[in-house]
Amino acid sequence: MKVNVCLFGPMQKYGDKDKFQMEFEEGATLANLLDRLKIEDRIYIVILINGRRAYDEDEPLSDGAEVLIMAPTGGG
Amino acid sequence: MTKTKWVGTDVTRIDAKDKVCGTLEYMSDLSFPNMIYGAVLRSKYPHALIKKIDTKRAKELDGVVTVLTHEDVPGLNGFGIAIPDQPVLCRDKVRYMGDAIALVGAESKEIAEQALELIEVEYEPLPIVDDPEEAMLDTSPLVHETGNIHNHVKIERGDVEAAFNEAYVVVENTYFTPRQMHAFLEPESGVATIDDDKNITIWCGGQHPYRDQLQVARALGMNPRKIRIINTPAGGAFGGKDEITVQIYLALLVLHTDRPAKIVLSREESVIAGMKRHPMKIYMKTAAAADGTILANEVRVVSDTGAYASLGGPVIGFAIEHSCGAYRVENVRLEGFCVYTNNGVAGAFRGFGANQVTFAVETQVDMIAEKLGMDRLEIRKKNGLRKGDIAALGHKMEASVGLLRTLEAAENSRLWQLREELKAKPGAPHKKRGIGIACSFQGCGLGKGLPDYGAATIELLPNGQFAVGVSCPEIGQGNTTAFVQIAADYIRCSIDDIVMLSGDTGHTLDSGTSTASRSVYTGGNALKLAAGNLHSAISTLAAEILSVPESDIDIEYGSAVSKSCPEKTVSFKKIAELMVERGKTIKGEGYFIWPVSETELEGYVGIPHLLYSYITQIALVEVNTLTGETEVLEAVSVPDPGKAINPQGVEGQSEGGVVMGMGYALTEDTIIEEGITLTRNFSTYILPTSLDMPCEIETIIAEELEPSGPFGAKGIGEAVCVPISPAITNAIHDACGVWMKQIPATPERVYTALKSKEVP
Repeated sequence: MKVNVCLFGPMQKYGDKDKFQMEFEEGATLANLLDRLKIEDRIYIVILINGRRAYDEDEPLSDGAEVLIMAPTGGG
Repeated sequence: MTKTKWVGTDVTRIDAKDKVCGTLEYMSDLSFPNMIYGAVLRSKYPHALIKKIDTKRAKELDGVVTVLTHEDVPGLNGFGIAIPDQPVLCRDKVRYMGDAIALVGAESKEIAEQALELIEVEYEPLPIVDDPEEAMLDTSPLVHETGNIHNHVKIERGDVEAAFNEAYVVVENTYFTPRQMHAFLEPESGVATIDDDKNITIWCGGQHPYRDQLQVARALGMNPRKIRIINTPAGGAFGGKDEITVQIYLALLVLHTDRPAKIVLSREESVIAGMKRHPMKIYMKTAAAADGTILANEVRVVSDTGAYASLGGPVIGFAIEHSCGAYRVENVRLEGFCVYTNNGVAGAFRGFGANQVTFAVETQVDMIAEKLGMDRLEIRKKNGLRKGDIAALGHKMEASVGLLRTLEAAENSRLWQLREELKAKPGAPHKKRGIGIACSFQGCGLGKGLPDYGAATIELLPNGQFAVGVSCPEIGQGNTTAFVQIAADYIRCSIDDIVMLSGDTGHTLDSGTSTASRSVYTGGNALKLAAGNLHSAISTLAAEILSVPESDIDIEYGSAVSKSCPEKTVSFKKIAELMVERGKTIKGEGYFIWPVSETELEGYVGIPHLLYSYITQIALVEVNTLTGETEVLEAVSVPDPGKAINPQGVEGQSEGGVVMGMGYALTEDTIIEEGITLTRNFSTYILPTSLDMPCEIETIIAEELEPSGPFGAKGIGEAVCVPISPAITNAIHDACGVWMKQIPATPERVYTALKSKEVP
């Protein structure tokens, strides 16, 4: 299956591009994606899968999923 | 627009009774059996190396349960929303007087405080830097090894030099703004517990429970899911509890002792260690044509973020975005620096950088109007942003723009219409009256660059009521009441049938922050989506009960109805009963992501914004020319919040905002000299009291509905405290002819300005 990944802010260092596609076998989880991107610090990170906050690394990926990876932030 | 039963009506706040009767339990009111009390050892110097920390004597004191230092922080010894540059417990260096070095847990608060005195710390004092412009020099002592300039923003558009050359009038000034204190009634405080499986629960007033959860987890090196954060209710926040306050200390205490723990900062400790509004020095040069058209604006802002960044980076970006006011300006040269010093830390504060630059630009506009002999309101109408205009950063105003509506409503207000009559009646011969006006806009949401998201849940309860969950905490702004109204109209039920859940990672999904005038827009939109999903689930059961196809079901207030046979209805309560019988749950979740501006400013995150709230405010002041004292007699506040979900709530925000902006304009400043805070309590930090309130604050709500908002709502929590400050200083000028370029306009400053004016 193919997953669309978008990296924001400080997380952009984990990809050559901000937006790219990754291919996984069926049954892959968010942990597999983070492993592949070599993202080691996985505590202070916010991930949205199809607009929904993913709270656990074992959340399954699905074909065509949009995965947004960012650092928490604030603002006005 | 959808017809509503609750939205747009005055609804009594859901927390009003408990707050008024004093029965609401804030975090500092909570206690648990076997609880220990925490206290934090703060630095003795504003800048020093730590050579040695000896806790032996403190640990030997009877009643002391634990004494923790940097060695006891199991995860990252740092916190900070944007970058974790602030140590949880300092190891080798302190950078301001609020820096924490050790943490004591004891059987009583008194013992904990006594133990602090027994901790021996050997320091090697370092030279300090307390002036941000000096801190920018290569020769300055370094607060951080990475350099003292934390963030630099530079944006240029158009041909600034040509615009200045062709201008009919140019005004050029330097402005200074103070280090305002949030002054929430409840200082930073909280309690925490830990269970046998090492799951930690923290009750602590805050503004984003899910981000607090991640910051605590990072410091503890734990899975965030083992940490539950409850932020609601907060006894005031105003941005000052957006950053971590005592959450990590509470977690460390329970982790190391397996006992519940409580920390309540004293007011003095809160003043020294807590966040403030960024003091800024603002250079501004503004050009205008003979007809009042603003041609160019050159701005240089230096912002003092103190010892640590927190949100100082985004604040300077926001300030630059708002530094040309709510006006069309085609030629701009804008530059901002966020600089480290050894002063107290500055961070998020209601307005987020707009307050400082609005004071400057709104004074500039009045000066231009005076030089041109132009009406102060007309020059604002002439230059004010309209939908489709290009704003200062080059971005198009694509969403609703209500500035003109607020200016026109202000023009028609009693205060503006009767201004000459009111000014002509001072209370004594040595007093002079003036009227000032100012307007502004306020970016809503987190801006371009990072997805601004939020979720909401609605669940049908067995008794037919609905549990509504939005995690944006109730920090006093009234968002939970607004959520109840919005949910009731989307669900189509009574507000009495809503059970509101707020600010709790254990019972709500992540809805983001209660900051940035964003919570009602975000939570409301997520609730709309959640209600749609809930209706689908309700319709399935209702169709079965009524023996009609699901497509035939319509949702009315309190029941599901057959469209084809309207006498066939089933109440939500009946549906809930069937749900229980079947062992089912009926729940709707909604996930919302903010729309953003199409304009991308390469290298910047958080600017520009797509949505803005707008506001015009007017002040009538009386200046005592013998003492320099200024009294605000009356004020008019005309906000454009989009749809006012709860007009009474908007009025409350407006009145509170006017008084907060009045304090900023006239009295409030946390004075720090050589890194030492001098104004440590409300005896010397002068807040407006009930006796200082204007005798009348008229709020006129000027709704410019935002199509993308829930029922047309945007946000209004911040804008209400912004233009009132320059409205007041412009009124001082109207009264006695002196321009205030530094706030607060204390009696001393006004008196000095008056005396200078008398000198030929």
